[in-house]
Amino acid sequence: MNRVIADYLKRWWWVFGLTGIAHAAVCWFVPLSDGPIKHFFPYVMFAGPFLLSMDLHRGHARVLTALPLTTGQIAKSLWMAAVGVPAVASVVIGLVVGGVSWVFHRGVPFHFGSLVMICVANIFWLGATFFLLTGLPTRTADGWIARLRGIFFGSLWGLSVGGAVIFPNFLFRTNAAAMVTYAVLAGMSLAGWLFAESFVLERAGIRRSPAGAARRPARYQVSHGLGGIPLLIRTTMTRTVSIGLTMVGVMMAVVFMEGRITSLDRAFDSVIPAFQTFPFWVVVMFQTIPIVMQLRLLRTLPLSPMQLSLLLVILPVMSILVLGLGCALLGLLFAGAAMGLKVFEMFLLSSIGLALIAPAMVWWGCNRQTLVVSFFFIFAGSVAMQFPTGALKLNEVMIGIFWLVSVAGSWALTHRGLRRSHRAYRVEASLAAWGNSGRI
Amino acid sequence: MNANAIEIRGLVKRYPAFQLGPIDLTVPSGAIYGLIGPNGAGKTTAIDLVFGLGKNDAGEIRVLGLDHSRAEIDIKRRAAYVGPDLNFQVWGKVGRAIRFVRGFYPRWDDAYCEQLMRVFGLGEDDKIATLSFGAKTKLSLLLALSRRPEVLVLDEPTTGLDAVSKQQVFAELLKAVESGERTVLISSHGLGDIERFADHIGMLKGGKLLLEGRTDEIVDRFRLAEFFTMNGTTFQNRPGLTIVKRDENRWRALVDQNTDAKRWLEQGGAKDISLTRLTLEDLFVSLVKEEEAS
Repeated sequence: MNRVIADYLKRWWWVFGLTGIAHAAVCWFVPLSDGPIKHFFPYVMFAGPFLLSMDLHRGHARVLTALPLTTGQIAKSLWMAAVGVPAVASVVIGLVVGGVSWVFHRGVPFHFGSLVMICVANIFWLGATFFLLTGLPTRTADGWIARLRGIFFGSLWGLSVGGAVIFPNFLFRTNAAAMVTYAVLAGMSLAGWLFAESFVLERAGIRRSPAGAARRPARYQVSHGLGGIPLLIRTTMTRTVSIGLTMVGVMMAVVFMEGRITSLDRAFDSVIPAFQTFPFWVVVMFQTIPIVMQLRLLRTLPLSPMQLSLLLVILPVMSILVLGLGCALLGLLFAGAAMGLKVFEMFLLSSIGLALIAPAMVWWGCNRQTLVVSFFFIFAGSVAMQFPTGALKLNEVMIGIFWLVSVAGSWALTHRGLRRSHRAYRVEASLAAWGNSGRI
Repeated sequence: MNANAIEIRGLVKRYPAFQLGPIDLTVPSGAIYGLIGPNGAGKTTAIDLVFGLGKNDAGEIRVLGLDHSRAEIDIKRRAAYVGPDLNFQVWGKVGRAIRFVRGFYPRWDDAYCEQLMRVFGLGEDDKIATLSFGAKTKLSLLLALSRRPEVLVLDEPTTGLDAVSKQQVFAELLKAVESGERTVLISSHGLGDIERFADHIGMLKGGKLLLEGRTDEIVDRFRLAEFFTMNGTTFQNRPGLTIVKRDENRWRALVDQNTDAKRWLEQGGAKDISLTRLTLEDLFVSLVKEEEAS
């Protein structure tokens, strides 16, 4: 058990390091202001079950079940690695950095309560997201109940990433709201612990009951219709845009349900911070990665490297822009033209990061460098998004030129990578091994 | 029709810890060519380079008489690749994967595709994620054969297949080449299958091509020699002679009949030399061991 946890920590130490630094910064500054906690997210977003999900995608659960460990031991190990250790580290960092901050800010009112709230919120958020991970759909899930369950948990999982940015705005606004939030998160954490064992079995692709005997007779006919690249474009764009818009809708609905915001413009305004991260991840997860997963296949089809690189760069960019257009229209309807334009500019800047992910994936495969570059683009994008309205105001022409140069450069790099690099075509890097959890 | 379906000349690909080549390899049109070699010999690298999955550092590859980098699209329209690393899982169901791939090939044969679906037991609504490893290989083969390619390149197509499935796969491959218009390049560890089905073979080891030619000629060229020596006579490896095993004065060696190795053994004092015909697998093991021993 300890070896499993140690192996996990050894492989992901750099993520723990980076998120630990971000968490330390939060714990340094937050106790200095008297208000609801808003910024506990950097640590729980990236150092918890989100990280574990990366391993699971690569078939880690299947590997672990082959080791001389019981399923219960594996489940406990994974829970400890994804929840226990990060939670303890979060508290230790909070107390140490908070204590040092207190020493440096003797004359300033210091709110230890906020520090404690951050640490507790971190613990429960980690536990709750582990529970959401246990309910995520697997590729082998069959039947409408499994599908509905998958959609429900998948939506909440998506919201837990974007939601970690916006939910603190109102979930911890009052003591009563905070108590209810903590109670719900604690319940989910407990459920996560209880479901961990069956989760390991499911992710290892081990059926707990015999497959249904009443299998439909196979159809040995191929239905006609759209095929080739048009099918790829339609499938991935429809999926990405619809998931993205649904998430925006759910976020706005959650804000309304909280009851403190009653006007549409303010509800829309409150979900805007989430636009800095969630569209990027939605497109990466539902479009870029599925295309990169089949890069080896795509390279053996009659597509030139020029066409394929264009597809790899432009398709995610188009998707995020279509998603941005939808959100900008909502902004236009609810909060006026200026808001609509601001939202579209945010998506335009996000699309630059997405375009630059393509050459990273082709040159390096989906490995550590690519992940670091992705995180860098998210943070750089968050900074860049301050430009349109902030002190370093950029006009539309400059943004347009920047966008064009970035996309064209990305295309050129991707094209070169497709011709010269071999990494993305190899199993270990190409994600061809991802989804092994579904193998029976 | 070109005399050779694939011609590789002076191909070199360098990695930090491995170099493929320089190799020259010729796959005649209408042949089933087996590319064999131990793990890490460079088989997949060579096949990848044919399909542009990476860039060769030197050399030339011609497929159906066309330069592989200049006429890439044309070649990929006329050639098909089957390998264990092809990922169709993102398409969810078999039918969708077929629709996707079919969209690239105007000459796609729907009737043949449906026939193969029956033979391989792959239904349109089958979830790709729940297919066994062997069934995924069959799907890959179905997608390749249904486009009626002139050249079919298969990288380890029989890995994970049971005996019946293996027979089905080879039966379809033989049907595909029976007209003589199609060529198959197959890399495999199943040497028994290669010996049975491939009319040409190439043997790679450590990035170098050790042997190439007609399967029957290569198998016929080598013999396992068993002999005795007296008075402490010893033999060393030399061109055409590979010492496989020595048990005091009893020896086993691989003899290339195209050389004067046998005569050299006799002159050197080997007694009671008996020559035995080898299977491709025996030959492969002996040649691989030769390099390990040296």
